[in-house]
Amino acid sequence: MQIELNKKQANLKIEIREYLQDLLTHELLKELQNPSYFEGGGPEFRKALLRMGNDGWIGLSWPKSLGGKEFSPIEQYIFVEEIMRTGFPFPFLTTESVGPMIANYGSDFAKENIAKRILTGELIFAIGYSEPNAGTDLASLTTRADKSPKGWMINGQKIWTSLANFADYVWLAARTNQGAKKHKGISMFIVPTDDPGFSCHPIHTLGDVRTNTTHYDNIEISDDFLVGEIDEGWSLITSQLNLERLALVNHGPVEELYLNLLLQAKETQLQNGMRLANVPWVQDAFAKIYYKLEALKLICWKQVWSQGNNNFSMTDASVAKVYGSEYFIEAYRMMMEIFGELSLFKSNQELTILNGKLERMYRTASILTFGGGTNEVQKDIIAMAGLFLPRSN
Amino acid sequence: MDFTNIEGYTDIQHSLDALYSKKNIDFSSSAISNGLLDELKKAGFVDIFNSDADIHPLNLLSLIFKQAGYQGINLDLYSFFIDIPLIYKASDKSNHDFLRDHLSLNSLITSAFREPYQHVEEGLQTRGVKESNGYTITGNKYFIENFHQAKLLILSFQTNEGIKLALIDKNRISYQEQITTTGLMVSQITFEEFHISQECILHIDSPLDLINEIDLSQKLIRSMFIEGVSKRMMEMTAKYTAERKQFDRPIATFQAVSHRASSMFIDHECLSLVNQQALFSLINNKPEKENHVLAAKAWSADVSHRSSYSAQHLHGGMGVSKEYDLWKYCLLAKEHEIMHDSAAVCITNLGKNITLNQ
Repeated sequence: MQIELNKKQANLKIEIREYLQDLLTHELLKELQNPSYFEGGGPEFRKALLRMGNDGWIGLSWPKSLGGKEFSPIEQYIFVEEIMRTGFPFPFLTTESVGPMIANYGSDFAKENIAKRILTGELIFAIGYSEPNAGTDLASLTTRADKSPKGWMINGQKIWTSLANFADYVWLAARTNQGAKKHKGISMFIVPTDDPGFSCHPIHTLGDVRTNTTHYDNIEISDDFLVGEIDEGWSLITSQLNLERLALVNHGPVEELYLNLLLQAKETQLQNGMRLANVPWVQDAFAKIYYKLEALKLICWKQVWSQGNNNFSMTDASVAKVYGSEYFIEAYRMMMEIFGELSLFKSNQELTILNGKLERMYRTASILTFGGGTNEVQKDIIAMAGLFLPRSN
Repeated sequence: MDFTNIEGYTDIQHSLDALYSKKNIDFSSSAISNGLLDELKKAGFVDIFNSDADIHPLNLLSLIFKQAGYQGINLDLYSFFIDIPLIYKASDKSNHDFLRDHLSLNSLITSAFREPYQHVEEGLQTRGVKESNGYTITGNKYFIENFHQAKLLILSFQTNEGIKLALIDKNRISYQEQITTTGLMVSQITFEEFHISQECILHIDSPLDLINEIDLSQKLIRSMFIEGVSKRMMEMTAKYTAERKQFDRPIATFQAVSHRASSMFIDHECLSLVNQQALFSLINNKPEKENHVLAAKAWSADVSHRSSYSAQHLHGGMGVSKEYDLWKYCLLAKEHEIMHDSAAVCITNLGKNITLNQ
């Protein structure tokens, strides 16, 4: 038993932290304050991504044979943790999820012209799964890919296609067999966003994060853009979502926020001479944030440790996702209670707390309880696969 | 026993709903600049302090704010409707006949009472040092409503002789603007050795009692606002989950969904009842009024939080899209949850009261 990072992992953490400090230039940080670039896509973001590719910090989970670093799951987790602490919108889904699948299951063309360019930081993907009538019930999606003389003709509509406004490609799930059972007739495609048949419309959200509806109107692509076997896309979707769930609830960002707020509370002297951090109920609130955060960290650590021992558990992924997403909401609430009305001010103002970071984070918190597989479905998975209860209807 | 009180005024509710549901009201603009205060005045709601009215002012205020919450209106008129009239009621009217001008909207007054870290501090931190003809003020006030439209400001500060309230010309004061989570603009003032003449001091028998009464009234009316917000979020959630289909059936037919929506209903019922009790206690000056108001604000803060996240969750992506109105209710819920003390603060203070046998 060793419930801590080993020396190599601790050193990696320091190495990544130092690298990121250098990467996050003043210009980049300024760009990331602009709501249009909260999720990346700006010129400084692109520049930083190219630099990361050049410095070998993309493709950490990829096999060395494909140009990756072959990091262990724990090392990958540390990387995600450190980068999320900085607030840099690193495109994890492109680099650590879609990229390896293209490298493994894509055509020779896609391996050479797309996967390699993901590694160099040149390309970004958006994920095209959800549709207006296919959210939690994703397998009922109706976007279709029909055989055409040149390959495939794509038609349909997706919703919540985040990053599509600046992505180079969409990782698209489309129905290729209208007669098959709904999980069976889906295939995965790489769809270029510069095709004239592609269009993208913004959906602005509570958390100031832009997402999109995307439309696919007679987009014709060759077989080179099909990934994996025809009609066998469902397994690629579910394995991608399982990987995504852990990254969504990485403990790094909330721990970073907690530590900064704790420091601020220790430094804030009230008029009566007492420090904010010494007010009894404030101490109680910090204790609750801390002990629940410890559990989240351990859930995540245990999961990546299990993965490293080839013992990935779907139940563990669901536990992490439900616990983490619900904890974030609770933690942000307690943090706002500690700082009271000051926590309601937006950024770039004199009295704001951490330049409005907390104010913004509470607005984005709910997305994780339904995004990446709604928590009710995760609880069904836990009941079935963890407790071996009968399957619910 | 009679629980019909507020629910009995359906004509007033309908009238307010008609007024608030106009489509041209900009969510993040003040109720004065978007014309809402003028509309309320035209409809007779600004005359609520008329002693001939057959409804208690607090009762009517509860309706005004609850229906605003229900319609998703960012009604920044707490100072206008609560602070200024209560100060007037408690002050020597022969010297300061300011309420008439205020309510006629000719000479608006706003109040500067809130201070940073007030939720963890005892008493006021803005200090006034006595001089030969007045006081020198040092301190910081924030969350001042409609400062840029007001002509006068009422300021609270602590002196060696107790709390004082002063009526001062707004033009003497420099201020900064702050944007809150709902997008509303409020003002902040830093007083550094700011002089106030003796003539500005309002003659009030017990300023501390007045400040406490204002605080309790603010808490209650904000809780009423939240009741309206939570009711609307609950109704939107019920409608959406009944219509939205996944797996070929309405998602409300999944027990996990219907049970969470039911919890919103239970929360709303509890909030409605503790609000009504607090209103009754405050109107009738009952000995338990402070505890009842603290219980109501603690409940409303909890319900704000839970209803907001339940509604967002059960709506999925629609719950956070600005193409659907729920997002406005979520912002209003959070702002009112924290303003005039969160559940954590109210429960702490309630605990102190109970253990001290208040």
